[in-house]
Amino acid sequence: MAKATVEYKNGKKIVTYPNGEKQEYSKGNLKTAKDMFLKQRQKIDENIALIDDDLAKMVV
Amino acid sequence: MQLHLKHRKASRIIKRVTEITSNGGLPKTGQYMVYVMGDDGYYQKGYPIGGGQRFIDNGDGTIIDMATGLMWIKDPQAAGLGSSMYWYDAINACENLDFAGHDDWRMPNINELLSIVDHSRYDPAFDPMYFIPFPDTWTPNWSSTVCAPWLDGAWCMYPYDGYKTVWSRVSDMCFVRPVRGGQS
Repeated sequence: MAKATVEYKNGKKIVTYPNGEKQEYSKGNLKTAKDMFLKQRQKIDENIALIDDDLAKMVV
Repeated sequence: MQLHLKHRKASRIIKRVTEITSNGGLPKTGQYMVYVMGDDGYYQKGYPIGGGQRFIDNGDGTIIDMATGLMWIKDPQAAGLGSSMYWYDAINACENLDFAGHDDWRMPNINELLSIVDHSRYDPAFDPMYFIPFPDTWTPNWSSTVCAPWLDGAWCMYPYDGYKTVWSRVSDMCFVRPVRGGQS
């Protein structure tokens, strides 16, 4: 199994992939990525809330 | 076979296109229900999905998509790709695959992977007659496309609903459905 290795140096995250590719991440890079996932989660949470609301009102 | 050794640079011809003559193009989404005039079901634009017009079963474990010109493996499990794996392992598995007389298989990019989605279906969101699903439709299929906002991730697709998502190239394991052909 080819696993990447991760190290943290000089305030950066450095990932070395199995083919030798190195990727450096600043805090800014990771915050941008985190924002993307938070936005996606926000909409999913909203949709779940809408369904929960429907379910709660569907009383037999 | 070493990774990438078999690839050759294709010569590129640049020409002006004055007429649209493609026989393929974007496939229909699969929506046939009309909810409102002007919606997808109303127009049903795109290359036909059904009626045997789009997917051709070659009978040797491969499927041809007449809309995209791509060849897919009908059942990746039959090609020895039945386990979920890390992204790099999945790429290597495709690159080294020799199946149905072809050794130029590769991992599909995200556009190619999403092209097989039929939006009228779920669990799986593609025609299981041509694309045998993996047992777990909530584990995505990898694409070869890296996620630009998060380079640790690669785009992938949930077979359950055809949803485009991103899983970690570093720590996640997904299934892979190899493809061959396509424009260079």
